[in-house]
Amino acid sequence: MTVDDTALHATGIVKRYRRHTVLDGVDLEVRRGEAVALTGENGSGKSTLLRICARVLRPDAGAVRVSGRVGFCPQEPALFDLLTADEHLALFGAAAGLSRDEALRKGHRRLDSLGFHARPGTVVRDLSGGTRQKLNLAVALLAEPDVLLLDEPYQGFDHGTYVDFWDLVAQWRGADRAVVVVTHMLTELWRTDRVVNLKEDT
Amino acid sequence: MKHRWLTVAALQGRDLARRRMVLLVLVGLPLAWYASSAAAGLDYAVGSGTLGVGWCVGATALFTVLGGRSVDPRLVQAGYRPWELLAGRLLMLLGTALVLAAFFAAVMVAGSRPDRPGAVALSIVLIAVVSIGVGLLVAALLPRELEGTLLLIAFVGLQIGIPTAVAQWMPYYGPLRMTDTSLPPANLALLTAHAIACTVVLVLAAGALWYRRVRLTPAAPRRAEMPGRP
Repeated sequence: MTVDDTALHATGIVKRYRRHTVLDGVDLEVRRGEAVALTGENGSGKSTLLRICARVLRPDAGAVRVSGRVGFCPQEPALFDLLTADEHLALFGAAAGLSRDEALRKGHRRLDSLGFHARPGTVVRDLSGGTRQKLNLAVALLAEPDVLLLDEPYQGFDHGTYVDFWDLVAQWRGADRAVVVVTHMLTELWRTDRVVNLKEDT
Repeated sequence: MKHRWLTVAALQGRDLARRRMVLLVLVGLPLAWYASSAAAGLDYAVGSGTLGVGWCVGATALFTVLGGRSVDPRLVQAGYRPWELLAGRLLMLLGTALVLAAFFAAVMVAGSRPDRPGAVALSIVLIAVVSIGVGLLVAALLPRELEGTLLLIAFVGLQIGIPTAVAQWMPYYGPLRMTDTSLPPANLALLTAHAIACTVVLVLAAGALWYRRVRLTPAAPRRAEMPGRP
């Protein structure tokens, strides 16, 4: 692995919640064009590690280096209940420096690829769980990120969309992006290049 | 894109506008406080309505922040600067507070025909503005709906009975003193300055606490400083 290939490099990550140590010196390195599955039992610190890599959670020790822009899809949809899909696209698009028109164009393309169907003007609160999750994933993809950190992003997806999601992972990897997917779906691990099992590998 | 904080303000405004029950309470609660006191012929009807406006604006600020609790860190991660989110939210709250204040100033001046209508109108505007800071600080200190609401109720309720020596240090002192007809007229400029100073302090304190929650962790040290790297 050359230094330039590394898109995400987390070293010596330690995270404690009070006296409970969730992560104890975890390392994670992901190259461009690599898809990594992050597995582990409940409470093993998968989501915590992903949040630290996304820099929304501060580790007690260790360092994270990311090359390029990061797209982060949290496990629970982090969206405004009373805004519509288009309003979310405009809001997150502005964060990435996109105009409203650009954000809507790109966002609709992402949503179409995920099979998002909702009446225009429907607010998030009125979307089904799976549809909400599709929007949650789409806004993470808006900025064409170099590193994708996805925390069980397929929850609530119907089977067809679930299969499409893994095809999209293959596409993103083919586009030289680094993809980390937290998953419990062991039957899909063959679709990734590498499996990092927290507790076992760390 | 320039002025991303305006995008935040506009979308926060839409979020609030869709909360019909909240809007109803925003208007109904101060109106009920004022109308019930005025109907009973109480001297402090205007003060009661003013306090009602303060509670409602504070609650709006509280729930606006709490509504974005899970989204804010993600928006910062996506590229917003924390100050853009805060500025957008403040702009929306300020607009809401001023519209509400203008409406209630008109209602109370028309309904009670006070000797100093200008002071009454000013007091309502000031309590609406200072309540933004109160609501933001409560949200920053107790970022949970029930606890935050109870704290806000307790805080507003306390304003009625506390002794003047303590009240002078409270954010609502200026606006409530302006509506107090049992005392001789006070210096409006000083009371206005008091309220504005309180607002600034409250917003800065709330902003600092909120920033600690949403800021991104610092970028990693340079490669040579990273552990395990030559």
